[in-house]
Amino acid sequence: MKRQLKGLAAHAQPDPAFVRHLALRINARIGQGAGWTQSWKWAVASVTAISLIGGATGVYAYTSDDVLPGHSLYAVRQGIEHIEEVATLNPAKKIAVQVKQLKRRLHENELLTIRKQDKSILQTQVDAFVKGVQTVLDDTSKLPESKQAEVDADVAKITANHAGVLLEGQKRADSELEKSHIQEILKDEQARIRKKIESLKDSRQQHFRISKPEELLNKSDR
Amino acid sequence: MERKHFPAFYQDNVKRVYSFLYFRVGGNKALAEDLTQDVFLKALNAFESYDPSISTSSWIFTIARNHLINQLQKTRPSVDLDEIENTIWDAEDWTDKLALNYDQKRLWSAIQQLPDEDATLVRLKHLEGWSYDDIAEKVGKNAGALRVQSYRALKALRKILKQK
Repeated sequence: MKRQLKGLAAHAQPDPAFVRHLALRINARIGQGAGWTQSWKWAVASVTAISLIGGATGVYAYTSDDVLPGHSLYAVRQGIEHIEEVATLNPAKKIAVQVKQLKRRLHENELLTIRKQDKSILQTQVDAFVKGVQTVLDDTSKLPESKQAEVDADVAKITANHAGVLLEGQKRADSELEKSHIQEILKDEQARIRKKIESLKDSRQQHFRISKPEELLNKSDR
Repeated sequence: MERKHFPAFYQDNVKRVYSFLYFRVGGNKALAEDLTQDVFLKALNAFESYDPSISTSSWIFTIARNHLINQLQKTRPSVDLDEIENTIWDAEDWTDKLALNYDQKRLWSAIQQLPDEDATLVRLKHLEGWSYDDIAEKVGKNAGALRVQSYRALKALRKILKQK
């Protein structure tokens, strides 16, 4: 009976994200860390700033496909993502947040490619993506081996998809110059990711299969 | 109390306040969140006047109740909280909104069939998460007596469910 009542009561439980967000607002008003370190103050201030701008603006910046690098609200999205990562203390959950953000970079780069944005932005985005991959792979080494395999499989899929996005961008290029520029970005990305994977222990390297750029490029030409 | 103690107070009470508001706004999560936020920010402003030796959680629930009435009176000027409480608990349509499963709906309906005092006790204790001490403060009864009453109420609930 008590279990059944608990099940019913579960409908009236607040979302943990809401509880955390309100805690941050309260702490910002009090102007203290409430047991957190001094380095959190700026994070709390940022969240407050975002809330003051208008919670709706923060949500828009965080979720809208129109907010891409170069957009005036992109810095807001980056701020929210940084706080999201810093606020997650559990190592496994932190990595899950990092992987989620990696998928975001993939999605953003896909949109940039389709919308054919300024290619200098694409390079910056690819750099951010590669850095994200390197960070996730480094942090994952702290997890138990079974978890490492899971994360590595996810990252392998994301990096393969990202290479696909760049190949697609190459296909849609308006000129030979643009095409060769994207080719260079792809080669550089794959080389950097391969270097990172080769620095991992053998058992983890098995989780990945990074194609050589020539293989990818040959595939795309068919 | 000093404001530096508020975060701990918040963590101790946020779920119950949210639950209290949630059941009184027809299961509207977004509205319950907005109201919960307003209540705690108001409470923070008044926290220096809070004395836990005089009132434990009734202080925050008074703020919550008054805030809820103020909000609801914006659209229904003649509303009072007793009316809201009775309406919410009896309304069948919002159990559909919550997407309760069959067993949960049966349980909900069974709670409504208990005598008023028992139903209130079950709701406050088992659905909204109040402690016996807090309920005792609210209804003016002894916590020990409430434990016994709760035991009997759950027994009656089992009987109702067996009959259905």
